[in-house]
Amino acid sequence: MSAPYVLRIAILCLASFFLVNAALGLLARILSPAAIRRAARMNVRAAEQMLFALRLLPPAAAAFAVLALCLPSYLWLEPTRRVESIGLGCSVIALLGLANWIWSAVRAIRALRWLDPAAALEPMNMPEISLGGRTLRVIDTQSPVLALAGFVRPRIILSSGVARSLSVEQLELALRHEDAHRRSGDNWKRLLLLAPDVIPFSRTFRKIEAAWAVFAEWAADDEAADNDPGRSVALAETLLRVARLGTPARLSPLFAPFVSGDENLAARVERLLRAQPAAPLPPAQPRARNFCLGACAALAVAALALLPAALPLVHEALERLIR
Amino acid sequence: MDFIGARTDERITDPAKSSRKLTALGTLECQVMDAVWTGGEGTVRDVSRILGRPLAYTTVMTTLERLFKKGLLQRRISGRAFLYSARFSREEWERQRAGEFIASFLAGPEPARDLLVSCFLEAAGRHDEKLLEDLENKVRLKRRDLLRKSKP
Repeated sequence: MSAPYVLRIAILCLASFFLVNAALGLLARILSPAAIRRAARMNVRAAEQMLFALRLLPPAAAAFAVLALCLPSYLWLEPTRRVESIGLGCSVIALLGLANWIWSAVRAIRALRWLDPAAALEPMNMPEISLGGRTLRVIDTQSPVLALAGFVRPRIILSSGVARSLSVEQLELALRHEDAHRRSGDNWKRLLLLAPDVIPFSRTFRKIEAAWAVFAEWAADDEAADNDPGRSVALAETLLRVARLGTPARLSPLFAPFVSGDENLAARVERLLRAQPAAPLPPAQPRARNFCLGACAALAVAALALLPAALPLVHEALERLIR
Repeated sequence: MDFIGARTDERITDPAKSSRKLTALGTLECQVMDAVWTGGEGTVRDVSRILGRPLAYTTVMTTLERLFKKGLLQRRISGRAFLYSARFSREEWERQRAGEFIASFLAGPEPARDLLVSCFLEAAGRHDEKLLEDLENKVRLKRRDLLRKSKP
């Protein structure tokens, strides 16, 4: 198949992304059981972050490979001949890459269209209220709705049924739980988890994503309880009180309800009841973040230094791929 | 000696083709299906062995024959005996039965349909009552424990 320059670049970018993402994705899939076992022994917030990084590593590394290596090498070293043929294999891989992106976009659009349950229930809405420095939107329904909604300006959606059934202390704990989700940017993370999978229409990272969701809830529980056994028990009570109200209205997959399935509920309650008073953990988070930033900076410097030597090699590989 | 004198065309007859709809099974039929799913392909004797209860050879043979005619089993001749195996996996069978059950309700009069839908909604809308009770008991015990510890 003959193709002009721009189409060749597009096909090569899609094919390269697909190949790198597939290779690293399969590696992540193989490593996932060990990673989940390791996560179970870690601080829950660190575990959540590690699983999130493992899930996003393949598409992020593939995007880096395309933007930092494939694209520059092709633009720099490929003569802008008008037409060149493209092999069938490369076309098929590029099509798979395109299908992967389309599938990811469809999932994201579906989730985003479903984003605001408050908007969907607008006629029954009460106005936004401010409580303890938080913006709450109360929906007048008995259905147990309690979730953090939105990305740029996240707000807590609360149904009047939940508000009426909880005591002030329980409501405060539930809101602290949602605050923890907001601070950790969990809604953004849920959106990023819709990044392309290894193969279109597959769920290769299902286990990692499910484990991430569990650890994200546990981390939010821990931050709401703040190492206080009394608060942990009160939060467990709150979970059960909300569960007693029935199954929550179906929300966008971009935010989790305060209470979800029975299995998860039981695990969370049991965990909260086992909580022991403990001294606050040393602030390991900034250290880990600094380490990651340092590693990224070192990688960027190394990539820049090696780029002149690497680009011809990458170009040669791309030429093989295209034929 | 299994099925001596059985008609040759039975070897290739597929009764399920003429009757796809799965019918309700009796207790022994269910047990025999379980045995076939557990043991895989086998003769009447193999199935009797897996059933593990003193049943007459002819009883098992008749039951297998009936299940074959209902389209749940397939068979092939091996030497002088038939080897029976399941036409569906246990999961496929259960899914198909559930589908037929729901379809029969939906084909029924309006109240039957409403009843089914409301039952589903009720079941889906409830957390496991027993689980919630257990967890609430644990919370109560823990609270009591904490209170006891906090008292000097």
